[in-house]
Amino acid sequence: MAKDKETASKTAGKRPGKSMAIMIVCGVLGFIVAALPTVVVLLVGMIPTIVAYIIDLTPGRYAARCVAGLNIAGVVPFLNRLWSSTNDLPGAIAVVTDVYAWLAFYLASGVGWALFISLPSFVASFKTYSAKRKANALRERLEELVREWGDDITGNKPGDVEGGDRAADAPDSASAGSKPAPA
Amino acid sequence: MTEAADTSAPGPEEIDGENEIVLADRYRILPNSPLPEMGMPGSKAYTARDLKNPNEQVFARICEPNVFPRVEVMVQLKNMREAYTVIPEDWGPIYWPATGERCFAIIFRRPEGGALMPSLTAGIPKIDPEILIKTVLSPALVTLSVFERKKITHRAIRPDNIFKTAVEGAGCLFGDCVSVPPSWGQSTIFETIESSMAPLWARGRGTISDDIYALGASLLILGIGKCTVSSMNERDLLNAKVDQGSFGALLNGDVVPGRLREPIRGMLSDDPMDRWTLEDLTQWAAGTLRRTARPIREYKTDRPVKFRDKDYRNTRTLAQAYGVHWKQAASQMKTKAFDTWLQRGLSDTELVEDLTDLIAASAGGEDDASASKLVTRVCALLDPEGPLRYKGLSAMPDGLGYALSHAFEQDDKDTVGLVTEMIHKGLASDWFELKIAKGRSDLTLESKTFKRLQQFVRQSGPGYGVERVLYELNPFLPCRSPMLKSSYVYSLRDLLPAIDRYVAQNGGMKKFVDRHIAAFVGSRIKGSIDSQLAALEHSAGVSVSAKIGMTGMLAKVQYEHQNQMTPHLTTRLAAELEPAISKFQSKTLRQKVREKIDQAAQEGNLMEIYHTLSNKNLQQKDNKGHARAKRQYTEAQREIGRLESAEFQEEARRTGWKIAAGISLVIGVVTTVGVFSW
Repeated sequence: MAKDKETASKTAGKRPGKSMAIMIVCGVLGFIVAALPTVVVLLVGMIPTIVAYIIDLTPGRYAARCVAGLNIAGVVPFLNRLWSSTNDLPGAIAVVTDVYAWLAFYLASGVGWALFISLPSFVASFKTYSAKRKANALRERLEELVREWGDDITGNKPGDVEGGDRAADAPDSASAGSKPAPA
Repeated sequence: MTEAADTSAPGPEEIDGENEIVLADRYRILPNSPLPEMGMPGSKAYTARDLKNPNEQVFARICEPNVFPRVEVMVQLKNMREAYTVIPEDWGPIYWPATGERCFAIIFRRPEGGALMPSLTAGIPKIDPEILIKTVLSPALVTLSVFERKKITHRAIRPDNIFKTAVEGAGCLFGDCVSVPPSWGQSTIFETIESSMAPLWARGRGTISDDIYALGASLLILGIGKCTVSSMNERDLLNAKVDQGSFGALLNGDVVPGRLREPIRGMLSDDPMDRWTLEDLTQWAAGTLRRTARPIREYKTDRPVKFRDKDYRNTRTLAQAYGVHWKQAASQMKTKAFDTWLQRGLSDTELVEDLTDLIAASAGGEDDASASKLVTRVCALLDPEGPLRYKGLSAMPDGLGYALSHAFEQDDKDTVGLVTEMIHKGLASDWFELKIAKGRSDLTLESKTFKRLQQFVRQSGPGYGVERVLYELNPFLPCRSPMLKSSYVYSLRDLLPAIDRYVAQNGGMKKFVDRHIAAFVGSRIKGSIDSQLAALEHSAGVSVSAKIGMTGMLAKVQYEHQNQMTPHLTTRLAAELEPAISKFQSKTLRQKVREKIDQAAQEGNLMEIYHTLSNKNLQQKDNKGHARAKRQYTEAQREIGRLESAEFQEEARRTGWKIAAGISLVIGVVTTVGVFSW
């Protein structure tokens, strides 16, 4: 019975998602019909991004993101040209058949790919170098601590640098008493 | 203790010239000039010179190493000029060449005349009763009245210890009573029956009534000109006293001088309640004696009781026999025959009732412990004035201190054990309680003292136990630590110099935590040292904390005597306490502490050493620092691991991608905004 309730609540939860998807699909279809020239330019111009998205296996799809930003930078001037002219399907076809437009789309995407490939290794080298320096500083601190407090702070067998032969008992109980006299 | 006595300087330095010893920079003692006529058991007399006042005739008594003088009485006597007694002028430990160690010396002004009787075996012409009253009894009454007021007793009154003065017919002087413990060497002739039942080292300081008894016996001997019982052994004399009464026994058939018969009989009464008091004697001397009848305790039994094949007709002698053969006594007490004897043999119904209840109450216990306790209590009821009897040991409760010190000196472990048991089981305090219940309210303090001692005996750690009892009961007993035995340290003032000297001579101490030193300090020091003693309690004296506790105790002594620096001791101590310094975990702190300790050791400053090693704040700081360092170490290690891990490399690459994606996005947005706005 509890299971039934769970299933019912699951289906009830799915329903608004489904209708949302239908609404989005309807919206996209409406947009395609209403702005077909723009859609044609975007679809053709963003092919490098779509390809990058498909082949990108990095977690978070950073390759696609790098390509997408610069790809859009390559497409936007041509969209502006379309919208500044007749903004119809022949105008869109004129753009997508323009060789310079294709050059712009792919050149920008290429820059995106170059950024994706070169920047991480540069950043990693920098961070590794900085981490190495930090680790060395920490190692010096560790040695300093061991010198000051002995080996037992390392969690290994106690063997103090100097006071390794400390007696088993500390001056604890004896000192609990009152001082014999005010200093 | 006299201020003039030089006790801090090392012994041999006191020798001034050849065979001469100087006490307190004033009295020169000549070891080669003994005065046998002035000597007494436990203390020999020697010629002495008063360097400040050469005309003064003085002599010195040197106490034997194992015999301890009554310093507390000397302090009182010093300013008691109105008493007719030999007054100690000065005293203190000195180096004595004959023994090779420090002995206690006492300087007395020499009596101008000789003793009234050279010895008890010697006969003298009978002294006229009137002269006796004038020259002996009257000054004795003055002296004993002063003694009673000061709550001290003489306990050495006998004819050979009473001296004439230069002026014919003037009052005689009582001799020395401070060189040896009370009643030390005093014959049974001059001791009451109850006191004679205890060995001479366990008779205690007694009361003024004991002195009156001794005075009575002395008057009797002087009156008849001889001691009629001098040839009798102690046991026979005691038995004779019990059977015939002291008066009859000492008279031994002779005739007592007419006028003195009444007071001597009164002074020699064997019942302390009936014995004449100072008031009685004063009234008698003034001719105004009005003595009311006092209840007399009857010790004689109606019927004899057989014990160990001997018939006893007196509860005192029975108690004495029971005290010696306590196991057989305990068995007899539980028999039907004994119960029958109680009902028929004793006329005192209250006593019978008390004894019956006591025996009935102990019916369950068959072991030695309950048997010994039963015998002790029965003996206390049968002979309430007698000594405390426990497992064969007889001692007056106020003589337990002397008994204990004697047992320690003789290395008599059995007696030490018995005294400890007596106090531990509360038998001594019970004895006083019984007396208080019978009207002796003046014994309340003693009862409380023994209850306090019971607490000390219950604790076994250094500073407590039987050693503490020894020093509590003997406030001027020198420290009996084997290290200090030859130094005669009877005051805290002498302790640190003596220890320092010992360390200098021997290169160290055999046992730093010494039970005798701990108990000696515990009993003599002002204020509490419980915390220091607690540190010694569970460590058997070998651990560092015990050594620090002992240091703290000696530091307290140093605080009381600020000028006594002990460089030899502290230097040795610094080495002994090295583990305590090493216990500090921080190297820097350790270094600082070590420097401080070394500095204090060079100065001989025990207080500084103790303060440094017992500084709680320093330890807390060290512990906190250690915990923090441990935490920092772990965190740093973890951070190094993270920085050198593959994950960190991956993370760096991912960061690169994020930056690249960010740059790309910014370019896209800037371009879009630029294109459309342009």
